[in-house]
Amino acid sequence: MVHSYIRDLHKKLVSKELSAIELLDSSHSLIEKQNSTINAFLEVWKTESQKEARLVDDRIKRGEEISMVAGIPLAVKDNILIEGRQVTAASKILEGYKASYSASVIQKLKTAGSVFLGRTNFDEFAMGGSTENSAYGATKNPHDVSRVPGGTSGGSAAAVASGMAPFALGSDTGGSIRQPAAFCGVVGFKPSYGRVSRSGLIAMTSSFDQIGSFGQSVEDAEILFRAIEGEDPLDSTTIAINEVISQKKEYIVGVPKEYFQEGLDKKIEETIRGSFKKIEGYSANWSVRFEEISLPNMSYALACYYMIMFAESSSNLARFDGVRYGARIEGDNLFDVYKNTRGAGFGTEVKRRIAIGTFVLSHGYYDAYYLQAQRVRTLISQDFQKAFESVDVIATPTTPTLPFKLGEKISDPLTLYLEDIYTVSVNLAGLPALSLPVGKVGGLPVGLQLIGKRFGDYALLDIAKRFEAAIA
Amino acid sequence: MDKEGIKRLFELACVGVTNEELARFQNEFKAILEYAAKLKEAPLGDLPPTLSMAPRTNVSREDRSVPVQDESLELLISQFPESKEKYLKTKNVFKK
Repeated sequence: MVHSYIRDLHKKLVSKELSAIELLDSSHSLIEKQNSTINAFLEVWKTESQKEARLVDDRIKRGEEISMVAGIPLAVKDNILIEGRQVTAASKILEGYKASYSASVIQKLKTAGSVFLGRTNFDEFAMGGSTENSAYGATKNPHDVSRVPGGTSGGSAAAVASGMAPFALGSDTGGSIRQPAAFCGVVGFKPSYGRVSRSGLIAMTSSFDQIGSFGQSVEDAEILFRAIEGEDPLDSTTIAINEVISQKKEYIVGVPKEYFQEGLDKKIEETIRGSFKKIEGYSANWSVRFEEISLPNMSYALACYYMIMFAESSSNLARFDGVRYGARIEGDNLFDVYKNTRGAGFGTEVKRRIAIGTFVLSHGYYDAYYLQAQRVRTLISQDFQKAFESVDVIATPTTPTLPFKLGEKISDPLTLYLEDIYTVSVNLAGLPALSLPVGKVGGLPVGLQLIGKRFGDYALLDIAKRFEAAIA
Repeated sequence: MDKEGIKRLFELACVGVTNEELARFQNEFKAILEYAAKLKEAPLGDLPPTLSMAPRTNVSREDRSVPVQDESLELLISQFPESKEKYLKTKNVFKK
């Protein structure tokens, strides 16, 4: 069993060995030391979090039971709404905007006694793969500050990797939790689509987006997931799941050959296959069998993902028009207000995606691009369904490359899109997946992606904990 | 996709764009759409599209107004870029 930082902190809070205020103070002093370099946090809610921490300490003093997440400082990606607090989607178009309601996940966490540390940096409107597209500066990788932390949830990943936050919320549309988790050497978990409410999450690609968790261990990510998951009447894509997991004697791991071809860094492959050996050789009351499988249509996944994503996100960003909230730049008429506001408020990557999305949905191209992509989506989902008939979990590298240097991939969008090649297929099929740190190459972290059956989130987390123990 | 075509897309999307951005986007869009063209080769048979992994059920609620708390209302109004009393002020929507 790998050490769970969150469980440990919870024990210390309950036994009064540590107070929530002391825990918060240590986060604040680490943030003061590191955030000006790393730029993980765009805003730290010092006063509010102190109030929240004191409330938890009072409850402990009164002998009340507290939840696992109570009193533990939590970083929140800056696309999750907290009533009365600023939320910008890392964009100029929402600079100064204050949320008028809280996301459903935040409501749950508030009730559970969470202490909200601050909002973390990410690629503007979750469009990117390195957190270099933020309108508020890039975030740096704590393992090497000349390199990217990954994206889009780079701020949350870096906050946890640097110790500034014990755990963090992120969101994943095409790998935005898993890829930065791999680059920063932490655990990042994306639940099955429909497991966590998206009400109060600034929408990017509505049929892919999911809020998920970052932690230093699988159990930490699981504790946070448990606190936020559940059906929500405010999000009709959520489903009530009563998952019961069984302990198995043998776990069959599918290793898709399409993920180990040209384009994968050789050192990453070595590290991943090395981790397979460690897992196989681990002594326990369970065993593992690695089997090569095929996901034959994986070569279409990236194009499929991008066409759907461009289309849905261009629709979702239509609401940012300078009328009801956010920035407004005046013009002679309403159309000019829209044009000027959106022209000045959106960064280049956002504009790029909105334009291509508009094209993909336009008359004459809708069938060839958007509808075609949605049909390929069915094909890829079926590949996964077939594979899961004979395996319990699928294991792949999370990323094809090691964390790259800041500025290295920003000038060619297609090169940056190719970084997502291993993660996007998961979102197409609505599956749960996580990235587990399995080693380093030249001091840079390598992540192993584990993919589970649809709605088999706790089963996947259970397997991940076993593998984590084997690799430790 | 030519410069005029891309300009038209930005007009449809109501997003202002500079000439430098247009020139840059021309090359990039070509590369991206060429990559996307590989979707035509996928062995689809007569597979239907998957628009969402979520079940396709409609959600409705009672048709009654739910009072909003004063604080929430004040917060909403404070976020209006321009307001008059408690009304949102915007450009005339009927004028061309």
